Amino acid sequence: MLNNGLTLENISKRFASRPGSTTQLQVLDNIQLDIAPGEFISIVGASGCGKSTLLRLILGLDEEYDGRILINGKPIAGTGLERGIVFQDHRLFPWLNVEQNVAVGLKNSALSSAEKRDTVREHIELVGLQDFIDAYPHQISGGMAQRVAIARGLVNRPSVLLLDEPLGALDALTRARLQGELQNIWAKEKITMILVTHDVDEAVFLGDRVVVMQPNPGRIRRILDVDLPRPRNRSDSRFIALRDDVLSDFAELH
Amino acid sequence: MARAQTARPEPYAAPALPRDNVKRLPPAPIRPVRKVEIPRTSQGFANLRRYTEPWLLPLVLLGLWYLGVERGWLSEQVLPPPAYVYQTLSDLITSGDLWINALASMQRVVLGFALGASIGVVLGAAMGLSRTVEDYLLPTFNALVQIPVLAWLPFALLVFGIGEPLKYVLIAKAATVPITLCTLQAFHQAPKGLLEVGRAYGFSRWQSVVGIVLPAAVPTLFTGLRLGFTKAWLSLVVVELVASSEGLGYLIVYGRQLFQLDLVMAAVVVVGAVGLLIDRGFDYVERRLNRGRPGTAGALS
Repeated sequence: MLNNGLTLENISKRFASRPGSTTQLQVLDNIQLDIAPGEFISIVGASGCGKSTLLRLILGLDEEYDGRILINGKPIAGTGLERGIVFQDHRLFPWLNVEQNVAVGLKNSALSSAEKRDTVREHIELVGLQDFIDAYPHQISGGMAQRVAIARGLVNRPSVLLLDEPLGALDALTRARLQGELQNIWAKEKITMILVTHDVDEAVFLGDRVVVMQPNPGRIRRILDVDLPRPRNRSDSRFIALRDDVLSDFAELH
Repeated sequence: MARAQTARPEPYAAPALPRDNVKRLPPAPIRPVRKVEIPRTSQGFANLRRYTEPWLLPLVLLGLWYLGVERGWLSEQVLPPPAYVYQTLSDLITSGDLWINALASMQRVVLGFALGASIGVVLGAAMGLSRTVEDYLLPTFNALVQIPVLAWLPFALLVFGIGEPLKYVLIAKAATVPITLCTLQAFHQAPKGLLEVGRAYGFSRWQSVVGIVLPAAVPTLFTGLRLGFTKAWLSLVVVELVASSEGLGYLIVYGRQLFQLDLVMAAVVVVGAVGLLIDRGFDYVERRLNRGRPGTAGALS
């Protein structure tokens, strides 16, 4: 039993199928997962398998569920600065520039304002946007906006960064480049990352382990170890074999 | 411990590719981002068009006015010629009558609007922030706002008398309605996604309101303030028509009673011009406040 990481114990979640209705929809059924500190976990599944819901539970946005979520052995209560998040839609504040947007993450941190400024600058440099510090979200591309969101997610130095399909809305070229960058950031910061995606290639490229989920009700189908050296090569035969292995899970479902 | 570090690195053999038939360009040198000043003069013609186009319709209307008087479509007593109205207007300006009346009107509308705007923003914000307040207030509010300013007048005359408070109250009432409703809407439309970001970073309720709800509400709030001002300006004239001894509305009544339609027209022109000027002022402030946001989001052309 791990006590120094993130533990999901028997997580189940139900929604009322319609507001006010008594029939309930089982979205998550008995999710069990131990995540080691510094591990990169990819959660992959078809739409509707509850993977994003699971991430919201871990983030603490939704506190109505059965089971326990433990960080370093302690159950979580609501959101916390030790958990960062990057959403699919970058969710930057349109009235703030890049620097101010990253600083949003530090609003309630205990740092002094000089420390805050330095940390913000450091993280903007980490995602390579030092030339766009004064730009507003509508002035930068989708890929750049997502990098700002990643910087904002990391600026508190969280122990866990949650990534909810962060690259899903980007074009293929930008996505491939950001996957590489995400991996470098992960290697540099040595923090736990949990990536939710529907892109099997991305899941295998980035994950130490790939958690395959299946819908109705949302549950873990299996967990694959990806024992490939990093940075991974997409044309490596073992990479292809692993990817096809995961893809075969989805082929059966249809 | 990360699993990646436990993996055995194996040398990876790249598949043999036919490389001879591929011409490769030399790698592009990495260049720093350049900031280029765009010369504004190149847009001169487009700007000229943008500034002249709004004047076309008023000029056509003025032309029709001339033509109408010239051809005798309406008698001169009913529709005085533009030159005559211009003469009256300059007389009003030189005699100082215009300033006295315009100032009286401005004072009423500014005070009434300030009162109405404060009430509207507070009321709208209270309903926007608290479901309970909304449930208690909104239905009654919606019923009361259906009653026009003129319908309140007899009652208001009795309560407030015929003096200045009457005007302030009725103007404030007219401004309050759209401002309350727009404020409420602005609070309801607070972006859910950004509020979640706030929660993820431990924003307090106060921080969420000040840091997310309010900035997101600025455009809608301003629409409300502009609408409110238009309503205030309109009801100012109505109130002055009924009960006053000075003001632009009074000029109109006075001109009508003496059958001096030139005076009526001159006052109407001033009312329109002042209203337009203030609306432009709001527009300017709004654009200043919205700097950093896309300017014409959703514009068709």
